[in-house]
Amino acid sequence: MTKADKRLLIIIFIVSFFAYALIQLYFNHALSEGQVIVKSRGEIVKYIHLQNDENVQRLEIEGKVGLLIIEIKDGMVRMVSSNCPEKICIKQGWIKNPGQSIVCVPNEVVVYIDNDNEELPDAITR
Amino acid sequence: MKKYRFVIATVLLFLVILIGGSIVRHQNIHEYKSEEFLMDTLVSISTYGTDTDLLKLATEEAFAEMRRIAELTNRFSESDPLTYKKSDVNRINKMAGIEAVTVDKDVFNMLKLAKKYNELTEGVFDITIGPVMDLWGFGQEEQSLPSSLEIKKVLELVDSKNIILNEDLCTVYLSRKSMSLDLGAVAKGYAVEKAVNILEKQGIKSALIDAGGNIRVLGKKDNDKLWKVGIQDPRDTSSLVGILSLVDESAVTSGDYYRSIEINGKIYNHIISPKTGFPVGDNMSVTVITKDAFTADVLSTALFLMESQQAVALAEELEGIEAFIVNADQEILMTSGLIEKVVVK
Repeated sequence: MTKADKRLLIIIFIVSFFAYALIQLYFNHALSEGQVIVKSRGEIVKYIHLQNDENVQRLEIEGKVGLLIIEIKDGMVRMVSSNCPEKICIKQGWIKNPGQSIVCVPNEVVVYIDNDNEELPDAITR
Repeated sequence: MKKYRFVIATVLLFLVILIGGSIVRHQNIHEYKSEEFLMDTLVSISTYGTDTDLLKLATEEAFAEMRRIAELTNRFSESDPLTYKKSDVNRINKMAGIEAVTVDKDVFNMLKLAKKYNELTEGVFDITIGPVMDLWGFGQEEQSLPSSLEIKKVLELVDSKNIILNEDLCTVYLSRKSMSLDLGAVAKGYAVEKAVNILEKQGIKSALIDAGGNIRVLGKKDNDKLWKVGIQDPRDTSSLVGILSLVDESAVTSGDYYRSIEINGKIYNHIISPKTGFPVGDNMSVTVITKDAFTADVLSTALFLMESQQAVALAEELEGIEAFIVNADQEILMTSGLIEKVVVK
């Protein structure tokens, strides 16, 4: 094997490795873990990065029948106010893991932590 | 020298196949996901395949079928006269003790199956629980604690034997006045199963339907992986108690935590025993895993209403039924067939 052959082999390896890594990144469009997505009436209305911040962050969301308030703290998120009759969304409490969601049916609002990690479950039965 | 060229060519070919294969795999399998608020919950359908147009069409048809079942079985829509009239369940309830009502074939089938499970569970599961649910105020704006006398009175109306079905005429008659059906424990599972049938008919091989935590998977994920379905911890909504590996199956959970009402500072869950008229406290959550979403829906409610040991024993007796139970002492009980399918957290 000549020096040129060896060089060619190394170049092929390096180029292939980067090409493979780029393809994986591009097609998996990996979003960072812990991204909170808020949907209201079918539309995404907020993207929030879930940070381990002790300070409470409050967000107001316009739902189908009224205003809702979402609270974010210490890498967790919960619903604190909603005018829905059964308050299922508030009773659910904090969520923190990708794949989990809080749903307010009367307001058609969904708050979920993005699930783009192949190791995580595809769905949660509850 | 020629020998090395051969090695280089082989390595090159291998890398081209690896990269090419990676591109083809990613480009070929698409996910199409759609969500809709239906049956008092958020329903999402994710389909996987190579033809995006087909995935979209099949998903839309599956949702249309779920919408149809939802309209036929809706029970709390008097404020909207148009929706109210579309519901066979409203018509059956209104005509209780008066006359038989002609219903849709699917509603008839649902009631027939629900009656079968009423017999199988010796009355533990009963869809004529409607008057008791109304008395407690579930699904209504205001709730109050019913007295024992009131409970006793409405319990007299609860008995699936008084649902008179006529298969030839496709009619349903509730033989006592003020009786009423509540299909809360069956309609969602039935609708999910109908939606899966539609996806299959359209040639979809891989899909996941999540109807507010009632899960039904079709085939394998991306056609080659097992679906991973987490079971929520009933006392810590941010944690899981187990992870199931499923193929062509359904997992439905009934829990004491999801839907409840507070009366005079005390929490009451929404699963009421047709025997006592009160919520039961033997289990925190019961997950049933079986082939179809309807059976899983019915049995998760039925087993939830039983003492945990008795519930596992019944699930073991039934063919193709697996159960994962977190009882009132937060102990986990499960059927023997589940051991290979679940990882306990």
